[in-house]
Amino acid sequence: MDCGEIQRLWVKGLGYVGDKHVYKFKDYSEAVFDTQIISKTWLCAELKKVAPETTHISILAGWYGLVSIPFLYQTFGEIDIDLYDVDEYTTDIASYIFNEYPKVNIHTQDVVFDEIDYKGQVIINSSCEHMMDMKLITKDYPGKIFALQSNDNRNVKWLHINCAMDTDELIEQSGLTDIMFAASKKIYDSKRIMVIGK
Amino acid sequence: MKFEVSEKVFAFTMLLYSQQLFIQMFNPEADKEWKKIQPIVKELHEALSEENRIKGRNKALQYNGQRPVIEGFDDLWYIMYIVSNYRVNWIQLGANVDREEIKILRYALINVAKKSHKRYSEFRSRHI
Repeated sequence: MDCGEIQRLWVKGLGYVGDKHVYKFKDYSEAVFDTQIISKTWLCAELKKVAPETTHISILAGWYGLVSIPFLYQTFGEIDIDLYDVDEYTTDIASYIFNEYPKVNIHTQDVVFDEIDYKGQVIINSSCEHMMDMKLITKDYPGKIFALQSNDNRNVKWLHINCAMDTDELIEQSGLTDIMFAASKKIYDSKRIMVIGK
Repeated sequence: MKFEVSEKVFAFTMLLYSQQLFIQMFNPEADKEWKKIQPIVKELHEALSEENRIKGRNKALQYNGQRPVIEGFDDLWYIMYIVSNYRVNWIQLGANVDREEIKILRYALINVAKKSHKRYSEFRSRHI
């Protein structure tokens, strides 16, 4: 994957962070970290194999989308992307960053508590460890493809509240029955787990 | 030949710098540290302009192997280019530089250049 666009967007957003949300600087800097690059590269490569004709994706709890959106564009072209995040400051920054991407829509919504009608053919959640079992969402979308990532790093207090230790556990949490891909990979000191299916 | 700033060098530099900036400039008085950090972030943003990136890339293509010197934020693209593409493990501070935020940036860059973006698992080095 080419990271030039990520760096360009990050610098663009940095100006807005400096003006409006300077307290987010550290959080913002973490959003392009190596683990993000590796895990989203992996996600895009496997998703392309099982859903090559995808034209519309919903990203749950997508943070700034700084890595996921450019990589999805490199993989699928200029598709429709709806990104959801609960933090209004994060989505304000993301809206600024992607104001030149007309097919990207940023939503301030809580994927856990808000009632949301996801329009994407594919629904991505690459931070399942941060929330309740995804079966509570997948049950309402039987025809859609879910691409889910979690990890086994239980050392992040308050945030990693629902880790998975292996693919079997993530499959169980997801409620998916038609599994198209399932694997794990070591990224630095943690295990990243990915499941794609319906 | 691809001559880019490695995604690891970019990410580690920004992450280490933001962490250190917040740690070193911490002030418990309400809103004080934001006021100190805000102009630094703005200056960093201006220095990371596309114009400076191209200048830094062109300068890095002429790199002669000497220890690079950081005088200010405008040198950041150049240093990230050479750390990404050559064997660089030290960055000198300009003789007249006394700004704390540039000293912090230099330490972040030395950390990145020496080890942070490389994998020395046999020595159990940390990765932040």
